[in-house]
Amino acid sequence: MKWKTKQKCKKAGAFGLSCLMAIGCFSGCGKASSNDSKKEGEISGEVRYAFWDSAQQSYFEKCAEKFNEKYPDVEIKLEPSSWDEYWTKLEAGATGGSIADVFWMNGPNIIKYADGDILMDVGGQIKESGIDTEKYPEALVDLYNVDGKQYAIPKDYDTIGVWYNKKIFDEAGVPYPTDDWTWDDMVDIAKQLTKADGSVYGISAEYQTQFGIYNTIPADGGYVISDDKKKSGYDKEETQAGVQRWVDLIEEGASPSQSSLEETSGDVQFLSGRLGMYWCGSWFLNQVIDSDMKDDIDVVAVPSINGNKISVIHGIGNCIYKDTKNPEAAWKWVEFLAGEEANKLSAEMGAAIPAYEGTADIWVDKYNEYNLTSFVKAAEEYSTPYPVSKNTAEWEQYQAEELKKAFNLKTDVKDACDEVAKKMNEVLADE
Amino acid sequence: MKKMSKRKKMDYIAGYTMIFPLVLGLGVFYFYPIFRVFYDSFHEVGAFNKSKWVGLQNYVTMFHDKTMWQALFNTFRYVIVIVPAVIILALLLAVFLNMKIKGKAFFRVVYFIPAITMSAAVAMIWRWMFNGDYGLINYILNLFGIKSIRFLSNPNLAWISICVVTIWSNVGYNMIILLAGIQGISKSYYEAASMDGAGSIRQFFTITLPLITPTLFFVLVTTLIGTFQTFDTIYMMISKTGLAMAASESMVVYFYKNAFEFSKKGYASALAIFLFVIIMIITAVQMKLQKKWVNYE
Repeated sequence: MKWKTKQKCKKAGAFGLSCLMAIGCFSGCGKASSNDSKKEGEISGEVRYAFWDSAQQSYFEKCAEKFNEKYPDVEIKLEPSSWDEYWTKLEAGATGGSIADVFWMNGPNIIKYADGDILMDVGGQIKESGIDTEKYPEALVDLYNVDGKQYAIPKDYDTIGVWYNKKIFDEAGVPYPTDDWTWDDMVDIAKQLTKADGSVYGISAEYQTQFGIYNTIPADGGYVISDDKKKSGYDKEETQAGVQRWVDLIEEGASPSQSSLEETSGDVQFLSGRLGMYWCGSWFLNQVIDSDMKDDIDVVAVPSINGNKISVIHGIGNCIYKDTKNPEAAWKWVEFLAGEEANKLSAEMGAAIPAYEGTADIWVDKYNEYNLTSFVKAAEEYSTPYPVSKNTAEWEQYQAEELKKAFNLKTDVKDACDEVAKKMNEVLADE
Repeated sequence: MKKMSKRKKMDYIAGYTMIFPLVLGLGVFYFYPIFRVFYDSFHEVGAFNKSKWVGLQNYVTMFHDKTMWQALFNTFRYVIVIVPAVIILALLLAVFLNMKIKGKAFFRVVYFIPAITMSAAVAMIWRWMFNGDYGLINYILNLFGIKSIRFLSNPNLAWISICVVTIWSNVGYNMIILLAGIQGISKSYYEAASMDGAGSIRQFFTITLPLITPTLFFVLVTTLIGTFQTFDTIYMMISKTGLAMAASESMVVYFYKNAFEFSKKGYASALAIFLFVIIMIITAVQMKLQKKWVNYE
């Protein structure tokens, strides 16, 4: 008898335990719901905010604090994730309905999400609350406008410049470049900086889009994708010229080979003192400040090509999930982040260049040992939007695969570009 | 009698309750996805799971897709190189570490370490060692006056580098399993054999090898399936869009690209089903063939 009761107890225990485990399995999933206890005229509830740059976590914590002074009943839940998993997670969330209420969006993905009917059109709210979209870089406001619907207000922006290593310039006895330089100046300097033993190269001509060919292609008068997003521009001579420039640098030995740059990326080679110059975005500042070489580095505007100076501008937008449970609270949060106060805070904390007009100066002043005005000037005077369509990721993949053959000096730039045009047009035809 | 059946009933209930969480987990994370992949492979599934019935279209596209055939070729190349190498090396090490040598516990641990290390970490370390500008291997080669070799970006070498890393990280685990198999063989066989004057090589081929065949069979099947599904080392070590990728990407890498980078989940599902069928056929053939060479005592 005794044995039996013991056994029973064990069984009951096991039953209880397994029930608990089963519940435990599921409790993680149903978190999306939030308490909708809304009082009259008051905004409350939980707003989940997803973003990929965990370096900005402390900035958003500060923002949430300030935001709660105005709306104490709204709980902002920050959900940072790494860049690598962000888009997979976001898409899965959008498919299953557990997506965050407010989340970061970028250029390559905006059309996909807009067409997928995931995003809230905030055009009406913008008008109602009297936000002046002219206060933000036009190229970015346009980037988040799909078929006449405004899906986001830009949060920040980045433009392209040429970072350079002053020490390498000094050693070679070459004067530092100035914002009015040309591509030919750059090529000359790159050759002068290059050492014969391969320990120093003048520049990195790595295959890059946002901080590579997407700048030189429009400067040469070509385009990546037509304005109506129906045709690739890669079969145009001007577009091919914008690609050829970079390949020439590799061919002339002023840059490490493409395969070297594939194994050790340009930013690492630059920050370990192997490259004289390195094209990159304003975001690179954070990496520079953290490196040992922060005192040896400065930045200059991108060079002009045949009199054209062009820098890609890109920026993150805050989007709202169409079926969010707390549309008012979500909008208030987006509105707050778009405001001058949040933008100033962003500049002070050095997270990124804030998009709101005038607030970028705070960022420039904060790091005045670097020539950061060139980035702001780029946004105001010579920026071009990041080329996108609905399936950007797919044709960008083909573009990379084919053009890398040219960057590896395995095929002609013309042949590679023609191949890109063919494949890209197939993708665009399916969209 | 009645009492017994009641107890039996209780046993059943208790048993099922205890496996319930596991079955639930398997159902949600294995069985449902398997059927879902099969279902999706007949659909065009775009971003956000918007799906449309397309019949066999995905399969037709797949058989005309040159990249798929290249990926399949790469996968078979991995299997043909990696599986025999892993098994032969694991067996040699197992026999070696079964002998009476000094410090064998130490060596057993050393060889097993790759098996308990995260494959992502393994890939990162090897990526650094293979690096063409700063890598350890090239540094040593340079000391001997040999020019640096681009192990990871040269399309002709990248797949070999992948093979080396995969073999290195799989030998240890299989060695432990084979070692356990060898130690399960009764000592009396060896005693009898040495009394009859058989040397250690003779003993290996006539006693160890035949008696270890069930373990060998297990190791063969699992390694083969694992190698067909090679993904992480390639994904972590080879530049995503570089020239070397085309020559080294496996079916699973190609599947991943389609599913998660191009948002073509329907097509990716067809790829997964195709690979599944290939693995199933090969495993079934092995099951049949085992009667010919596996000895069960």
